[in-house]
Amino acid sequence: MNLTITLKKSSMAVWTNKMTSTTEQDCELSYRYWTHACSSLVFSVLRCHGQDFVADMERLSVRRHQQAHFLPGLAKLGLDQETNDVRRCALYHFFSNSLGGLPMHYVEERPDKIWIRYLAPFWMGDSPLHPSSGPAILGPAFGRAPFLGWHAFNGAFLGNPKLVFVHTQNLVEGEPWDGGYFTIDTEDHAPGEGYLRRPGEWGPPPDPATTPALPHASWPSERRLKARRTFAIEFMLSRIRTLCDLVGLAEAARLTERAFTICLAQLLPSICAELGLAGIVSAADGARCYAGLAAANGSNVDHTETTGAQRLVEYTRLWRTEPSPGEEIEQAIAHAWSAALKLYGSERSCSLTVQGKDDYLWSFA
Amino acid sequence: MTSSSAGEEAKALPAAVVFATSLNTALVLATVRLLGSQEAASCEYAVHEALWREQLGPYRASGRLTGPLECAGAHLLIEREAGMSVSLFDSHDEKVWLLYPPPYRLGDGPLAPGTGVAAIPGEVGHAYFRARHAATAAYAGIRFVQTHDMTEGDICDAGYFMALSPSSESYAWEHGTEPPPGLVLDRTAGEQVSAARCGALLMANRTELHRRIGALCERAGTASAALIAEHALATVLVGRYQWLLDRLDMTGLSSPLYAAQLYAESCGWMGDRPAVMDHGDHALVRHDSAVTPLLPGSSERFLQAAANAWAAVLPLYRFEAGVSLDLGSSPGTASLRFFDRQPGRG
Repeated sequence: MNLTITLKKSSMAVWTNKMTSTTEQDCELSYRYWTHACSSLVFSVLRCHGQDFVADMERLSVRRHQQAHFLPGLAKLGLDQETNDVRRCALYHFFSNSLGGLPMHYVEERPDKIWIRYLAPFWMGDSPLHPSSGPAILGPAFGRAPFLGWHAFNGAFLGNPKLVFVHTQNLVEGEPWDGGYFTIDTEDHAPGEGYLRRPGEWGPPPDPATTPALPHASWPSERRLKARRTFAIEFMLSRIRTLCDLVGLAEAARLTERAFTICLAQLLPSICAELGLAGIVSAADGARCYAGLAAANGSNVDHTETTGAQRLVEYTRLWRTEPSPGEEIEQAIAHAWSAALKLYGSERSCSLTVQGKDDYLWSFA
Repeated sequence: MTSSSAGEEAKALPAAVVFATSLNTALVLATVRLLGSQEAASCEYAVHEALWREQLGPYRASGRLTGPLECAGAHLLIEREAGMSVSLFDSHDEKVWLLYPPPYRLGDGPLAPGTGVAAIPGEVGHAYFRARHAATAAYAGIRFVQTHDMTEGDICDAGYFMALSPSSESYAWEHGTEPPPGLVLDRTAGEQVSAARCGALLMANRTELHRRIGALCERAGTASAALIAEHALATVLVGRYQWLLDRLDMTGLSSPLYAAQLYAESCGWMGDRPAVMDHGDHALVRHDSAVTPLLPGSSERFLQAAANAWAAVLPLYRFEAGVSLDLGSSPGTASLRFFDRQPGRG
């Protein structure tokens, strides 16, 4: 018997036993998968290349993300008309990271000194939804990296060389959050040098009465959840692209495969459970599992179910912002899936043929 | 907040396991961060070598460790008793396999699978097998070949016992390129873990925490060990600050008393819930032994480390909250003093 099922984006995740997958469940699943994969990649890079290298990767990855998203994001969040650069930056980080699922504080001490705090659970390892002890290995430089990669350049983007970010708390140095404040310095700073480190300053406590309302609070739930999913996917892909720039495609692919293998070894049983699969006892189950996750990611998936090997066509949504750095990366993720499927039997495997831009053919055995 | 009913116990036990495993994992990772891979591997070896000597004792005394099957069987029984997921597979080619499916024993354990394992250096992962399996093999005059290790990017940990060839050492690392035969997924991980297995995991993790801190003190000195322990505990507490409230059915810390109770409850998970005394503007938690079960080192430095770690997390609950250590007027006692209005804040 042949059965063809077409899944369109996340309208219905997959023909699970439950058949009740919702956009909310899809987005939760996808967010968890990508945040775990992202943590796994950072930890893998640290293990294989050391603390200094992973901090560099983080700084450059965040910088890449800023170049793609900062100015368009200001407009999307309605901040392009804000004339106070301190408030404009603080609100941007408060809004965008809250939208990405991170708990945040915004505290306006005065118009030219506004605090933002990135609260725990950490944005790294394994996600705000699933706290982990992983960050215990991250060194102080890693905690400074995102601020050096992004906040230090905000002044240059906005044409305000006196705009600086003062970094006061660093979570990986045993403090309760990452944070500090935007302010206007007395001196000009070159692009990338608008960062000052002043440990020990705490600023005022948060006041819910004066915290700005999130613009996306009024968005439909589906839109918010999809935005959070996009946040996780795009941050991961930024890191992969940056890694390719730093170590070349072959080594980046090796680290990507390692990261996804460990991520899947840890998560695959729970992914199966969430998709209504009792396990992976056949090639069809393997295809169903992957198809369910791909659909949850927002990809279009066509799966032809036959009695033998399973073939699945995915029109991926992954490389929307920038093209894939190379097929080696897609193959690395496929190898990781193939390795993880063997947890359910040594005969289980999958392979990927990249048929064209964003067009994948998967085979499951 | 006392765990009196069966329902509360059913909720508290898995939370205690996750907390204890996270603490152990964070300690390993913080050791790697501050002392490097080699030193962390040496500590892990010391922890497991001493534990294994005790655990294997009865089997050695019985004279039953005579070959690969008997040695693998002893590991299966001992490690299952400690709550680990392990299976045995006799491939009938003179190899008897031991297979450890994910989630990994570290980071953050079987109840809360996570990716912290990706950061653990290979030598730290191997130290477990060098200390335990290699010791068994050496005693029995056979060999253990480790083939898979999750810290090396594998989907599981695995290896096999086999008869010793004349030129062989008792342990070898021969990285497998294929999955090991007989691998069976741990279907009891996550929410399915039984109360009995939770209890075993909790006991094992408490013991390991004691041993890790002891090994750290011996290798790095008490001052460095306390610093590492403080970083580990702060990471766990800060990362799990909301999780702690949820697991203990608390909605927030509206006064120093609640902060003190939160601390005491987490100590309870680790085996010794201290008394809490409310003094209105502050609350005291009294340790009769001057040792906190969260960082069970014998020096007062570990109490100070625990106080520092709690000082790091408290502002997440109440911006101005703080904690300090008061060493007792009578020898061997100490109190943690929880208060509001930390100077320089708020």
